[in-house]
Amino acid sequence: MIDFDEEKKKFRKSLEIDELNDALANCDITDMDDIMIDIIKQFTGNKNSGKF
Amino acid sequence: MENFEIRNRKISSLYFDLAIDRVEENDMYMAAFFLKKSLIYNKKNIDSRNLLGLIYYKLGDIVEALVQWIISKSYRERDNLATVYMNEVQNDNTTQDKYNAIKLYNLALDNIHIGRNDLAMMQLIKGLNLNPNHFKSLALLSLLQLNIKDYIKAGSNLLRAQKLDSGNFQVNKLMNYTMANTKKSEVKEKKLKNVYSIKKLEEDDAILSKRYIKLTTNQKIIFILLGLSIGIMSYQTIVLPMMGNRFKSEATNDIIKYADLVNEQNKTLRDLTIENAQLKSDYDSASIRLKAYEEQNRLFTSQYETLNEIITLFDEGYISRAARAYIELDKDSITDETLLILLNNAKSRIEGIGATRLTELGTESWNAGNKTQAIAYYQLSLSINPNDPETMFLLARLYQSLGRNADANPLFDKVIAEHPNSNYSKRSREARGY
Repeated sequence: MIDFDEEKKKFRKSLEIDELNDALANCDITDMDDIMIDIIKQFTGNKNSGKF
Repeated sequence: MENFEIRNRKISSLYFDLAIDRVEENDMYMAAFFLKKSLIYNKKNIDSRNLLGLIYYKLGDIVEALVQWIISKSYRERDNLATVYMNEVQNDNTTQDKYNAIKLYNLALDNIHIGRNDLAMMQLIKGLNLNPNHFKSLALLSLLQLNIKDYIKAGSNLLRAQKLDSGNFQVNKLMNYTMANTKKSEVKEKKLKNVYSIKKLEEDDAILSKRYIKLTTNQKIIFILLGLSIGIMSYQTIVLPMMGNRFKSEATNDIIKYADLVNEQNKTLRDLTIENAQLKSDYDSASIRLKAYEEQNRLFTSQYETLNEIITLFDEGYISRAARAYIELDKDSITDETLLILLNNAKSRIEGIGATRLTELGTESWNAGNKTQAIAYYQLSLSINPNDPETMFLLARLYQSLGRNADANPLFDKVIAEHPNSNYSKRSREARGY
């Protein structure tokens, strides 16, 4: 059996053209390089401050 | 470039390769999944981003496509296919229709959530007149049609959706449900692959879709060029170029300087060779992990489809087929949490009501004079629930009625031994003549 209510919940809205600018402004484009650099910076900062 | 950056580039490229494989199978769902993974490892992977945009464009989500191409262009302004694609969109005189189709889809979705399904259906149909290839509209309209049991129209729209994306789980599930509800007599059970034939839509027919590779010539060229450029990039990062120095040969001082230079170069070459070996090892390791991931994903997809099919077949009344598929399923190999929930659903159906229903079917067949069919039903029921005294007794009686005492007696004895307090134990003793 198909549960209509469950199936309809799986549908998401599509972006409309007037939402393009907001979508570009809010999109998250962090990647693994950014995460690694962040970790290294935190580590380096903690090391210099004597936390390690 | 740091080691982790090089590694991330390689992993990103490998995911892109997996996505290309999926695109060739018209599986846009998994292709998009792999491309998003690729971008997690390298947001500046222009090829992945452009291809993801193409997939969105193909499925009718034009604005999503534009988002990807605009971001792509922000990383590389020149020599970027995103510029070509965006110009295509701009120059296409059906683009405004496609935007309007998206709007109608969103409105339809709002109306469905407040229970105005008829209005939603009209909006979706209107949207599909503007853009016949808006995937979400096709899927949503077919769901609404299934809700009012219009299986023929639903099947037609699902087929159109599968031609755009043959890998979408939800659409495939709806199609299975549609197939099970049509009166077509031969719906084949396939656990691993979908085998379909395309027929003209008629009353009482189920439309079955066929997978096929469908790329335009331009897209093939683009993918080949992308593959070549990635191959060249990968070669350059794995096999580092030898660095050679030009040096002059002059007087003795120059010879000494020459000797020093050669020594220095030898040292650099040694270091680079070691680094190259490390990079190659990292690359091989990532490749093995990705292959394992791909294999796991294939297994997941196959198990998901099988479980889905078992539940659908059972719910639609095809108890025998559901039971057979359940018996043949390798349940021990299912470890994923989501799949375990599905397995429990299947188990409660088959091992609960299913076994009992099969015994009932056996008795109905026996009463109708079809003893061979009755034996098959009883045996199938016992395959699921081997210790059910009623089924064992009935099968034994049936064997006895056919003069097959050698088959009947062990069953009677088993009922007597294992269920001494049941009514069937007493009846088994009587049947055995004790």
